[in-house]
Amino acid sequence: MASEPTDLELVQDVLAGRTDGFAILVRRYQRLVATAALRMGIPRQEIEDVTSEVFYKVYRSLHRYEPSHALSTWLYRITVNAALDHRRSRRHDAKNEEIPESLASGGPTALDEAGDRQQARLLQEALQRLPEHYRAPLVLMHVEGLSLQEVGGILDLPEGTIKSRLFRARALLKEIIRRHYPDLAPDGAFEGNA
Amino acid sequence: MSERLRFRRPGDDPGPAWADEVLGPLRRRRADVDVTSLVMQRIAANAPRPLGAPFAGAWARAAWAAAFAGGFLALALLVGTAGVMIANGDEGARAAMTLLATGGRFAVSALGHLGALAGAFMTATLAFLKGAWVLVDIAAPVVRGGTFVAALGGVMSLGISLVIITRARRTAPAVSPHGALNRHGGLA
Repeated sequence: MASEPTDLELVQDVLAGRTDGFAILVRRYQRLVATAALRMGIPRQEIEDVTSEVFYKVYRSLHRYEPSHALSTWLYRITVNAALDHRRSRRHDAKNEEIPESLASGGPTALDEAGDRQQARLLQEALQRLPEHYRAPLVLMHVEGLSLQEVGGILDLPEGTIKSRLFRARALLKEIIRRHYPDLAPDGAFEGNA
Repeated sequence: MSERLRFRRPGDDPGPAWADEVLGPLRRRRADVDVTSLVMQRIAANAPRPLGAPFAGAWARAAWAAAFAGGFLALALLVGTAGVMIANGDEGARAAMTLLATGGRFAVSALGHLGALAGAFMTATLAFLKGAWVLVDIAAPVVRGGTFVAALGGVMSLGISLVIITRARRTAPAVSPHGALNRHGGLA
């Protein structure tokens, strides 16, 4: 049985003119891109547009891909940029996000899931109150679960800068939650602060 | 929309564990889309090749063909005009032929008469210049035609270059994956 082509092989194929290889890359990474965009605050009804836009940009600039980095890192970078651009251009839609019908696989009961949706919506609102340069590292680190090094690679910033931004982002998020979304706080988090 | 808040204390970071817990619901969100056909259709419609070379096909071939055709046409026109002039006993052509014959005779003579070479050479040169002037005078329309063809070719070349550049700019990716973020993490 033939093994699946690697990302680099597919990239080289596409650059050589065999564009069919790009369809494999899209299938391989579309969930990652769509999920990252969703977590960056793109409304679900616009995820498909943003995802296809990201892949189109990837295709157009594929010759700039540096194989020394993982393709997923590069995809994250383009996705973050696209999400920030999108958010900037459509801020007024931020509060109208429809909470998805089908959320995740794997888990919670219907009741838990509904609670999660509500919490996710409130969290998105809270995150939108953060400055962009704090929001991106926070989401990449604590939502996407990437390492400090990966976040630095994606945002093209030194790890020290990422650390300090995460520090401030968490502090700011805590303050936002304390003021506006106390229900989101872990139990007892603000005792004595009010 | 970002909120400007003052930290009451500089050490307010609740820590990674707190962030992981708070952002848990967001982490459980997933989006499952299939944009493969959408992307591939868009690629097929707008970008045949990822690297560009949007003008490398038919247009380039047509430009080369037109340039070669123009060049051969100009050459054929020049040779044809000269041939007609010689065949019809045109004065300028006769002068040119005479000039060539004289030059030839002088050249032969020069081989045998090295002493008279300088004077003969001057005479031949003067005759040559006179004949050439006559030839140029007669061939002025041809020269003008050739110049016009060359100018037309130049204009066409400029036009083709403009189209290539315009197309390249239009199809260039809007977002650079390298350095697209400024040092604050926002878009550059």
